[in-house]
Amino acid sequence: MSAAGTVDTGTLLEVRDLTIDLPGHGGAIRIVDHVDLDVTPGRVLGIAGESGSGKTMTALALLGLLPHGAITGGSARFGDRELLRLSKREWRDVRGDDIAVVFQDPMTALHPMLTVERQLTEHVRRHLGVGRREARERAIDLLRKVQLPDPEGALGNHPHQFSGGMRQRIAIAMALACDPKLLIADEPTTALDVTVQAGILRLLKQLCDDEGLAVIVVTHDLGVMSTVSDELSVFYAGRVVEHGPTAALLRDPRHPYTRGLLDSLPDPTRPDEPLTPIEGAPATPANRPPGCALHPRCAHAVASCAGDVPPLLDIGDGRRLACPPDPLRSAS
Amino acid sequence: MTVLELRDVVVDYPRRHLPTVRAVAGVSLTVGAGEIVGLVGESGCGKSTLGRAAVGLLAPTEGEVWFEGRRLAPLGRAARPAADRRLQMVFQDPTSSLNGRRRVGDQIRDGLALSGAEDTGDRRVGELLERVGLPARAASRFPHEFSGGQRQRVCIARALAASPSVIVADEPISALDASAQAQIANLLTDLARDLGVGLLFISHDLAIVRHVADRVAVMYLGRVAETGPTEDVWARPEHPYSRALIGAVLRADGTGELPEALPGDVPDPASPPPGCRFQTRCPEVFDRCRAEEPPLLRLGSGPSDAAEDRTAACWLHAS
Repeated sequence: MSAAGTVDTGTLLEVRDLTIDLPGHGGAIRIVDHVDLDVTPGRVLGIAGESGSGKTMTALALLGLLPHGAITGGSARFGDRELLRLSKREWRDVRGDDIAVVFQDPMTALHPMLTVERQLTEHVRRHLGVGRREARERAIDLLRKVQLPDPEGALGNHPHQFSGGMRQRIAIAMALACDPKLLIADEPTTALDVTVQAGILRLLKQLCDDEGLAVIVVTHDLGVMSTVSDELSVFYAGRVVEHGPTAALLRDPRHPYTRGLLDSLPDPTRPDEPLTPIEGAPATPANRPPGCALHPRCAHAVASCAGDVPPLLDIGDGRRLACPPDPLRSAS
Repeated sequence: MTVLELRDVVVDYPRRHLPTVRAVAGVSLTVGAGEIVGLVGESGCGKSTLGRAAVGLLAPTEGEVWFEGRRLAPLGRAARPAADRRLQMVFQDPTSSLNGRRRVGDQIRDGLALSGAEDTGDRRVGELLERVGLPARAASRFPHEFSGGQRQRVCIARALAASPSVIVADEPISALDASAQAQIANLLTDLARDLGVGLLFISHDLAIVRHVADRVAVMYLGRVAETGPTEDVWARPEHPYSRALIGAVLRADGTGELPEALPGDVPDPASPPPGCRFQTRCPEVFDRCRAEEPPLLRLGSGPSDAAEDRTAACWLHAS
């Protein structure tokens, strides 16, 4: 699986057949349907999809943060732990410790009334059981690691005294406080300005390279994916429709949905052409077409697409595709 | 023909015990009939404040807004003059723009009635829905029955009900999914072309603006940094900030290239730096930038039509 020549240190998290059902008006609604993911230390896995694709629910399941009433199936092996069977108490030792999270809006992670020092050290002391002075040293190290200017000075400040980009760095520092093995970043740059975005993405990549951290980035933004992720899983209506090394997948997308998503983005080489959106609206979990969920919107659909759900099949070069007609296969 | 004109608009937000925030510090802008003007900038640059002032939702502290040859009176307690209703706005979040408890057809009918249309019948409502790519029968449904992109179509249909000559659209696509973004961007472009509606398209996303807009104005910290025909600004950005903004656009091409981030952050609009507002982050800063604020300088080269509107507020271009 390791495509870019890094040493394969084995899988840290192995998700198999993950399904998530949420209670709905007319019975349970399947939000995530038989999803497989493999997360490796030192690499970034991208989960891409539009709203309602199940990408955020997948991330929440891996954090033990699914909404009340959710029923999960399948397995998520993290070392010798089965994440889907952990109790609330067991989650408290895993979440924030081995598995950390960064959300879209850093203010959801930061308490507006507490100083940065209080927030960082509380976390460190709770999970690592160290004293106040040691925790402060650790907090300064963390802020240095996320390249916050003047870490010592920053400790006494409150979140509102920082810009959005700096707040996100502080939130990342908090996530790193207990040396997690896995960092889940849900739309980490979506709320940030474009001129700041690159800095946060570079930081995530650096943490991955330097510390051997495994990262899952969840975003709808394929531009972000192109720059930060090593492997990419494209979600549509709760399923992975295409997976592969990011560069190969974006250069030569094989699933009509991936192709459609890329075509709907502005093309810098053809500014005068109108944008080419995927027609229709995304399928919602409550209203999922039978067979391939994309088939009502797909220009390449054949009769069999409305029949069985297409399986995600290996197509070589570390790529997997859930589109049996494979209409975009290059002629070669 | 200019339909909407902003002249040296300044908008202050006074704060108790704190210095006033000058969100817009003197901006002039025109929108012609059927013309799409892109207003680009990052959060806090004042683009949304300017958009609100442009439709009269906010009273400018200084400067004037002219619409269809009359001076636009900011919205007050009294009903807005009927003629001013031809200036419409579309907001970022279609869900909060619509009443969730009323059928979308009734909400569009309100738009017709308020603009003084004679025909407020079902057929007219259906026509408007079809104009924005929804079936006429959608009129009997509620907002929650639609996807985000469809809801934004309803908002646009409601704006069209007033037969607008200008629509100010404030981040109309940024809350939508990628495929819906392209659909709504194309719809707005078509409306401007087919109906001759002027469009002020406010967005942080330069890549989309490039596809949509005829002319573009780049804002930074309450001031316009650069203006020009979109293609010209994209190909030859003359302000270092525009260059940085264009350079920061991520491309989903699989090359994995990560652009350089600009150093530092946008300064606090309550206390902008002396001289040029961009000098704290500018890679090409020199002494004059720290002392004097550059005005919008006309860049005199290029084909005559394009050169008319090509300006940059940067001392690099002082002759």
